[in-house]
Amino acid sequence: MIELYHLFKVYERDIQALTDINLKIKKGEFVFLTGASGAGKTTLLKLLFAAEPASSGQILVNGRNVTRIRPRDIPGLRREIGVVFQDFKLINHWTVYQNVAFVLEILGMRRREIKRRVWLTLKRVHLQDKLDTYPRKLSGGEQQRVAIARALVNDPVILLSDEPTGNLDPDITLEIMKFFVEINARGTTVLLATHDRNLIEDFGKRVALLDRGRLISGGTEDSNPELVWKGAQR
Amino acid sequence: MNTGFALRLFLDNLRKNFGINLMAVGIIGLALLILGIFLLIGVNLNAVVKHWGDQIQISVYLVDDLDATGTDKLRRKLLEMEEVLDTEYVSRDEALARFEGMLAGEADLLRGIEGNPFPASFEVKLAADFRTLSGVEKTAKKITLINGVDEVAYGREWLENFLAIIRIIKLVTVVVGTLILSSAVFIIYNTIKLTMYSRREEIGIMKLVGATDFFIRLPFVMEGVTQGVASALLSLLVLWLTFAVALKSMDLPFSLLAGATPLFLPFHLIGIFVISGAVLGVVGSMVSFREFLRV
Repeated sequence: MIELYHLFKVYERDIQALTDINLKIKKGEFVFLTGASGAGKTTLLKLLFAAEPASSGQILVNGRNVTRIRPRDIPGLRREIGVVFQDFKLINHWTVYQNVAFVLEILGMRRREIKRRVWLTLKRVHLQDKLDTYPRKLSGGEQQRVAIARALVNDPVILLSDEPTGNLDPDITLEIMKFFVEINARGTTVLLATHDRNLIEDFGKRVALLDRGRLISGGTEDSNPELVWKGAQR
Repeated sequence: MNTGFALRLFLDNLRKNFGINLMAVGIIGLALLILGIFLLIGVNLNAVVKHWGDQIQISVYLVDDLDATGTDKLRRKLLEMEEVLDTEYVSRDEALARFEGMLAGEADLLRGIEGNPFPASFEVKLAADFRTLSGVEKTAKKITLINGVDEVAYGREWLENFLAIIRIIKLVTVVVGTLILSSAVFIIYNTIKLTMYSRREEIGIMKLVGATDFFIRLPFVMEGVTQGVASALLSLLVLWLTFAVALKSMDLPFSLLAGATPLFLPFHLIGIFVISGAVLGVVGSMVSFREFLRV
């Protein structure tokens, strides 16, 4: 589903963000992408949905060669990937409903169907009562749940999530994580960037560990989360 | 493509960004107003020039012994010429009467004159295409060759000066017009860009969740059209009010217009003005949009 081969990302002034990343994630897998702040987690996610171009190497996402994608094919790629951004990226002068519904509007779905799906998705993140509220009136955790709802409302084949639980209290974190697991159980491939150790230990999924732009373990399916985590503690 | 959604988004934006839109309409309206004032001056100048142009004529003096049939034949020949718009016959008596009128109060000067020394003539008005120096010269030469014509006169020096003034007026109009138009376009483009700049984050987010450029652009283009048309209408209204007030309250030096009546913009120009507002709005939003779509 996601395959990275010798991926490099160099920013201006020779800042090496990612170095020789090789990573394979199969369809239906649930993978934690972890590492300290600045290790390259966010950059790696951005490359996957063509928000940034790779410097060299190959990126395959759901059968598309992202490194060679034509600009007009980028919207198609992004519709297959649900992204929960670290800073949520909600449009503040739109209501919660409008923010989530937009993803379905661009698909040209009928209004009635949009209403139904948006309501169901918001219900899953317990925000069905906040349809007409503006993001600024919501707490950080609530905004995050809107962002999650927006990422999931069109049943994407891949879900990318950048620190999705960073702003949530433990109860809601657990709930959101269960929600991700449930999404995953229905077939969606999940790649979740986090530096929250507890989260990784509690859920016992595969872990890909980044350190200063290099993937030091977890590049393939047969990695043991326990060992990987201990490796990171050295 | 869901046009209904674009329309809803556009109306929603219009409502929520009312202040910014109003400011944009004000600034664009001001730029268009300056353009409108220039157009208005141009239209009136054009009317004056046209009015003056009507004065370009050739006096065709007839031989003394031409009878009524000969005169009639000559008139028909003149009217057949493509250069000739109209003719007016001035009989010998009329010519004398006109001269006497011009010398009113100084009748003494006429005392020494025996009988009527003035020949009969045709005042020939020229078609618009031939109101040039060479046009007048060629036409005059052609007329000289017609039977029954004694002499032609057309005030060469006056004509040369007049045509030179018109050339200068036209040149100044084009130069000033180009300057005003380009600064108006510049102001409009930058205003739209500024309003869009305040929305760049929203544009970026739309792209990140998979909206196509066209989809994102549509409501913005609708907004651009609305801004353009609203600005054009606003500036026309202000222009018209200024024009009406100026006509009423000021004793305009009508001699300046040389007998032509002050005119407001004709309907077709008003139409072009409004359509230009819309086009500027669309082009402005499309162009400034390209800079914000690179996500």
